[in-house]
Amino acid sequence: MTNLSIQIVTGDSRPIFKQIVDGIRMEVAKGNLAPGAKLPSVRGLAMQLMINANTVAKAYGELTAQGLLEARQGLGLFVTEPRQLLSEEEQKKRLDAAIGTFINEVAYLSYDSEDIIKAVQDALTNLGGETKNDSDEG
Amino acid sequence: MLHIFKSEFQRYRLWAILGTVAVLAIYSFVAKLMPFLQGNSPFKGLSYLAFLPAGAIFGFVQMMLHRRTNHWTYLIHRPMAPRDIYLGLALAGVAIVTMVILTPWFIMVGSLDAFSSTVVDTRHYSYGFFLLFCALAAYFVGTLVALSANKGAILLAIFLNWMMTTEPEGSFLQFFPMLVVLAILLVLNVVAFKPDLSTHERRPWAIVLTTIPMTYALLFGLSLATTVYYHIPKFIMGTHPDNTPVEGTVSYLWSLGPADQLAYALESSNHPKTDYYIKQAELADLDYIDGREWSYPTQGQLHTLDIQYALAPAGTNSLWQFSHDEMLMIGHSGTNNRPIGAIGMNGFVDDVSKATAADRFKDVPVMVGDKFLMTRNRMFQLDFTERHMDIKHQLPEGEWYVAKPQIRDNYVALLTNKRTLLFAPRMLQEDYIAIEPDYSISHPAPLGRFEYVDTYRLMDGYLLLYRGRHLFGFNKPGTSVIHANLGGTTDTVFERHYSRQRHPSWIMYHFEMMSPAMVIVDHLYRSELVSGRADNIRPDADLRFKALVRGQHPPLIYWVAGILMAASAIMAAVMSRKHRLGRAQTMTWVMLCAIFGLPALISFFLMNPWRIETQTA
Amino acid sequence: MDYCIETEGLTKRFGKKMALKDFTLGIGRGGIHAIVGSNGAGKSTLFRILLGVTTPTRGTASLLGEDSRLLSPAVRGRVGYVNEEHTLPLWMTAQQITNQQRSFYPSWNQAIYDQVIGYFDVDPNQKVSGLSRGERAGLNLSMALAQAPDVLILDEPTLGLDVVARQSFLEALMFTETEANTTIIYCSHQMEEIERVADRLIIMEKGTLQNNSSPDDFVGRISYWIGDFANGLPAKNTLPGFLTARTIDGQHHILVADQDDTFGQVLKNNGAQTVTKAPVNLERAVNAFLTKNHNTPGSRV
Repeated sequence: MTNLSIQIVTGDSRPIFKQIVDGIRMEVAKGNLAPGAKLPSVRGLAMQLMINANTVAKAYGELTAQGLLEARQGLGLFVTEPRQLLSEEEQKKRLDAAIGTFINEVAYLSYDSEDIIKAVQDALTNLGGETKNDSDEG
Repeated sequence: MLHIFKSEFQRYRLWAILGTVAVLAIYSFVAKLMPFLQGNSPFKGLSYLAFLPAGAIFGFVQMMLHRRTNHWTYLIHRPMAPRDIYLGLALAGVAIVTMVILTPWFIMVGSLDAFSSTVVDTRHYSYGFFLLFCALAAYFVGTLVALSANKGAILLAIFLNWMMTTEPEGSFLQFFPMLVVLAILLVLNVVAFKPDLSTHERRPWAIVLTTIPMTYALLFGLSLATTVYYHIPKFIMGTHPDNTPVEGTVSYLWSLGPADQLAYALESSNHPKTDYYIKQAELADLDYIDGREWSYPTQGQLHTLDIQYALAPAGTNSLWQFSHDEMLMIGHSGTNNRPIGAIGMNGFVDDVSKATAADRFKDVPVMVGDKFLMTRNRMFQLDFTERHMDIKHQLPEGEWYVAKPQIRDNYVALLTNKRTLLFAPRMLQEDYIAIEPDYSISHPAPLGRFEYVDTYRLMDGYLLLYRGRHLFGFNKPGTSVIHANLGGTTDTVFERHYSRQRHPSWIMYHFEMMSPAMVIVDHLYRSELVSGRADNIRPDADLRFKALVRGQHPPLIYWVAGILMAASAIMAAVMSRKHRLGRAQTMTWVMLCAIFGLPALISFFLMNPWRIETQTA
Repeated sequence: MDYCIETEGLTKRFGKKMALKDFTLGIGRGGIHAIVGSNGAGKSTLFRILLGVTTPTRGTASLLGEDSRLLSPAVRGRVGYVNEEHTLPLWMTAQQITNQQRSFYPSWNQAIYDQVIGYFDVDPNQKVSGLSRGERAGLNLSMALAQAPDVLILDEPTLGLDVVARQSFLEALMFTETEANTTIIYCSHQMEEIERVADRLIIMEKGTLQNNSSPDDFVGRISYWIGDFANGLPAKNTLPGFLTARTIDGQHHILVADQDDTFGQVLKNNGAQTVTKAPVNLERAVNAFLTKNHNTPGSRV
């Protein structure tokens, strides 16, 4: 079983289960959770994070619905081979939304467009770059 | 339930042990000051004053500690019926009270029995149970006050008064009613112990059981209230009969000097020697005789009712006590505590073991002075040196003694149910036997109708002045002046009837007015069932009771009683409606108020919430 | 639906004060239900009525299907109750109390007791009077869980506990392996605890029920708006779903319930020049709800 090093914060405006979902997705994106890795049991993760097990179950459920995780009977929960479940339309929508948020955040800073684009490229590079390649197979 | 008992007992165990030891220490100390089993000592009164409030406070505190909000939830919320929880707690409380009361008592009495020459009867041991039952009753009243929503729960302490003022003849009549009272108190506690303690009792039988003693207690309270609206205002206005005695009443006598008293009692007398007597009274020696009838001792009675503890004849250094178990006087030497014989109906016996059935007394005699025994109709004189017993005085069939001899400067008075006998003063000291009285005066009225008799010693005999509020019958106050001649004849000088009373009838017969039914019940219980003495409410009870039943009280009393009973019943019906009580409860309250009157109505207000809440059915 | 706790129009008046006002609530089986409310909201009264130690003025309450006024010993045995005082007989030792409890509850599970007490450092032979608050809380919880109740009511059980004890308490509560699907009712003022622990959030305020949903759904109802009003804040009753407002640095921070994103336009219609929507966390949302009818300071910097 792979160890999961995600954190949740109370008092945040994001619900806890959402923090877990985002946290696991980030781990998968960063490559710390490789496809086929086994996730901690619901109870185990709940104990680790000191939260209600139902919340973990809810997060796992959401991730399974999103296709990031899959349940193998009697064995547990595993990271799926990455494939894109969302339609083109949906992906465009999400990208636009994320861009919108991002623009909001940086608009008031004193960087010009070039510096911002460079920063984005660097960040994407750090993610590994394979993300872009893998998604083509979906 | 046993777990609760163990836990609760453990809680108070240390206190119980300390209490037991403390009581034992106090008992030991008292035993050094006076004979421990002496009946009529102030120590007995003090012990009631100590044990009863202690028992009540213990019960109260025990339950109040559990009654605190979170403690109560902790206690009640468990898979056990509330009744079982209560019984566990109560069992612990009872065990503790029993330990503190019985253990020291039995140790003391047992030690006296085993290691001393004091006469110890079964009744001395059973007194421990009397104390215990009284203390347990106090304990249960204390717990009930803590648990019950009844604001008048404390009034149930009247049970204690009831338990302690009857003097029944026989152990069964003594202890069985006490057990009944304890059972009633226990049951009331069990029904009061419910998850929501703020709810009031609704069960008809519990209402009746609670209301009757409360009514009794409230009668006393109402009577006390007359202090507020009658006595005090009258005092303030200066018109109270105590300050300004009312002429024309019997009690006016109290404010007069000896000669004036007699003149007053002889007012409008047309006896030829009236003026002569009045003149003589100015120079006469004045004394008085107490005409109150004693309580004859019965076999096995509580030793606290004993009139005298022992005979300690001068010059013999011995102590003679009456043993109820043996029905003999038992004597012990003062020097070495060895038994020195016994005294039975037929005189001295060398050893207790030699006494026959014929020797034993049939009734418990009264010990008088240091060498006399009185049975109902015989007075014996004991000669301890020669060891024989003689009849000093005896009464004919149908007559019996009603008081101990009263020793005065000029005479010794012996009262019987029919006569007052005056003997020469040295009668008791000297060894004459078969003495005859110098004067014999028949009672002008039955005993109980007069309390004190004034005696005037004249040159030619005695003048006796009898006074009483019911001397000539119920509500017929009077005085009677009788002249007694040496040799036994008497001459009634004058009987004066009085038409005025010092207080209005509604003050004098306040109990009867407030709740005639309760007065009847109380009197019937004491006279018929317990066959004991003393009606608690008023001293000359039998007379007033019969007068009540036969309708001889002043009409005002009956009218007011009737009105109050009806008004209480109506009020009860109205209030029950407002409180939305069920049919059964309404019926119960209306009946109780109709029968027992105003005190029952007051109980209603104490046993229901004062703010009318809309309750869910 | 099989409710373990159910009230219907529950009202309780103490003299002039209304502790509960027409309170209707149904709590289903399973899960952890948090009850939040300021002091005087009526939580204690609610529990006292449910446990039968107080009688309602109107309405009904039932526990596991039985009327609270007539709870049988059997049902009482299936409901556990723990509150912040952790009342226990002070004169007995931990071992004695545990033995006593074991004899009272036929469904006692010693394994659970051992497991839970292991989180705490309780000497079995020590008298309860000598235990610290945290140890008493642990002992209380151990016994409550070992009874294997169907319903466990906890009323601010971690109040006054130090960090270590509180952590142990929550861990023991959430992660003890019980066979029964115990419904847990958890009252607390600690939002951090509620966030971690609650499946459902019940909010009580001044004797009334204000919310009964999942915590996330509840937060979703509340939105936080910041606006610049040139002529001051419009009257409260003109703003739909208004909860609270504060003035900070001349701007008005407004919390509203059950409004969507068009509320920004509503504010503009009422005189706001600029309008921003800010994120809301559980604590702020609950606080806004509870202070809805309270007075707020005119302005704060």
